[in-house]
Amino acid sequence: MSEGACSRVFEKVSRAVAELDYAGAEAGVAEALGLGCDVYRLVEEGLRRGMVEVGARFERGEYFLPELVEAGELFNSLMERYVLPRLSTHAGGRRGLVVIGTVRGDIHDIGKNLVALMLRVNGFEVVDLGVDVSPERFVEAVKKYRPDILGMSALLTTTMLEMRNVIDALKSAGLRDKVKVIVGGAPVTEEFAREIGADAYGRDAVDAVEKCIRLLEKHT
Amino acid sequence: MARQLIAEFRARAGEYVEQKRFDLEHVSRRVAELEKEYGVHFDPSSPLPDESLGKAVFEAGFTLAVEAGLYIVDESRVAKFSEEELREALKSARNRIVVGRGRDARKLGYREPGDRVFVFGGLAGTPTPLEFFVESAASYALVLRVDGIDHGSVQTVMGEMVRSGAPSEVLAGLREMESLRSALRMAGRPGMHVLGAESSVGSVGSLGAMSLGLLRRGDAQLLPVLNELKTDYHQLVKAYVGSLRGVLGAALVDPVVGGFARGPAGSAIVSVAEILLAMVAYDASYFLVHPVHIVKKATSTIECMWVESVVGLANRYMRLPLVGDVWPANGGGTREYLYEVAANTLVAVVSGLNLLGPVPENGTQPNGGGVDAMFMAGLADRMVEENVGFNRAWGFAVELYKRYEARIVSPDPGKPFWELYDAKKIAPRKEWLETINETIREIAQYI
Repeated sequence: MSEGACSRVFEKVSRAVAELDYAGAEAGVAEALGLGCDVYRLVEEGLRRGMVEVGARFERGEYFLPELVEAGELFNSLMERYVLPRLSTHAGGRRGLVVIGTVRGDIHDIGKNLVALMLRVNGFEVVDLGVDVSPERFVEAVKKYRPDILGMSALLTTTMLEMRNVIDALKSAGLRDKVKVIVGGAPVTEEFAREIGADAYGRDAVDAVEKCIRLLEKHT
Repeated sequence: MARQLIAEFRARAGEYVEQKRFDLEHVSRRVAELEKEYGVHFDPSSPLPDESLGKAVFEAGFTLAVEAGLYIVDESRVAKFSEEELREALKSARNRIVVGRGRDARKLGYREPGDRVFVFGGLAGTPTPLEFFVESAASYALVLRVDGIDHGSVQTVMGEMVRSGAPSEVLAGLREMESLRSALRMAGRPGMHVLGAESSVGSVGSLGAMSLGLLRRGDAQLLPVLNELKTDYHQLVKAYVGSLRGVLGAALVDPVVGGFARGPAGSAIVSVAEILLAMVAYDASYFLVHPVHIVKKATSTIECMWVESVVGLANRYMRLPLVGDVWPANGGGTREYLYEVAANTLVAVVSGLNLLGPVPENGTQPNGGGVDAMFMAGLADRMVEENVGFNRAWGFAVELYKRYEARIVSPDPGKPFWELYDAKKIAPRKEWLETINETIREIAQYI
């Protein structure tokens, strides 16, 4: 295996992911594995770098949500088919586990999906509970998965109040100090997050990822 | 047969589509194709739209409305309307309606750029403490130039937080409407047009308010089109009962710019499609155009102002009563907030829209009062009087944008109503008035 050859293939994979070229990315991944390149470097320098470029294009207004969804599917598919089976033998690499969902009464999932995607890209494992999630389901998920962080999203001024109900339900179940809570969504503010007793507020997907990383740093 | 029932029956017999496929294929992919087919393009380095874009956006939006239809979430099926049905509905739609009652009634209609602007004031859905609800609402109703009111939402009743779909949400809707009625009586304008019961995002608040006569003939209720090109039975139920009770439907068209509607160009096309579908499925009487930027949110972003402007131009081919929402990122008490309001007003008015707002801090904090609406209305009237042209208004809006662009992503929330105002006298405090007057003088030299 030549170091230079692997770097060139990683670059090819990264470009293909950024261009949403599934066939090109798949061919590049297969080539890298055939050359015996390091799988972690393939993820970091190939797949993840491509996803970072997708995020940058989104920030610049060149890509929109459909491209993010497509990129997420491409990334997940290549990870599942080629990378994860090989990564399972490696230790470490995961930043933490986040359980995420849109609160009860709210069926908006754009923001929540974006946060989940960005968290995955940044090395978090994410359990996505979907939309219209009751406090009971959030509590159940915290018991079941024992996440480091619980993320809640809401797009409506009335449904955001459910976030307080979830935090109250966590307290009642004796789980509040077992998990960090981050909230976000269009009507949610830093002040509201503080008022309901959340640990952090994510202004957008990028900010949410940074806050999650900081929450884990404080935790450890 | 009532249009809401037609929509239900069409959906029940319509094609089953997984929601994700509808978002990605029926909406996003087709919108991208329509942008190319009709030459609809947004250039951030030169945001002034060509006035001829209106026709292209109308035709692309019309095509999308016919092809995609309206997705009914409860059924996971699509209600389709034919080209003939949409054209017939457009032909029979009222382009001017009378809202409110008695001597407080006003005309709200399709407007050419030189026509009078209908002005809605109020904190429109912003969580507002009941303690200050009446006074803050009255601060808008006392502004004679404000024609209709769309005020805050109630989030706490009897010391408990409201729960979606529960009796507490009904009670919140009732409290909101009772408080609004008190405010209008206090301001001596009991028949003023109310767009209300927004404390309830589903249907229960509106249904409660209508059953108790708190929301009545001459008033309106909000009927959002869900993102994108979707609705649910809550909205259709509200619209149906409203049509039986003479309560008007105000369709909220709020595409997410950067979401499944794609960028500004796609969002303009989606807005037109959503207006047409809300007209035919909700039987809506007027339409609130409220593009939301996926990251920056505010309607005063250059992308959202472009969408409002282009939809206004497209309305020359629909001639419907359209209202441009003015939702700045900053809050009352700050100069950036006033710059945002001014830029957004310039663009909306010159594009033929009526106005709703300003609603500070993207509707998250009650940091504003009636004097803000007076500022917005005064600027709108001045533009109409001076016959400010399309390119000139846009040019000045772009200049103003430079003064607040950096504060959109890190906005200054400003101060709440009870700090900007003497709540007992319902009068703005001197400091805030001085800032407003200074900004008026600053802006006046350009118009």
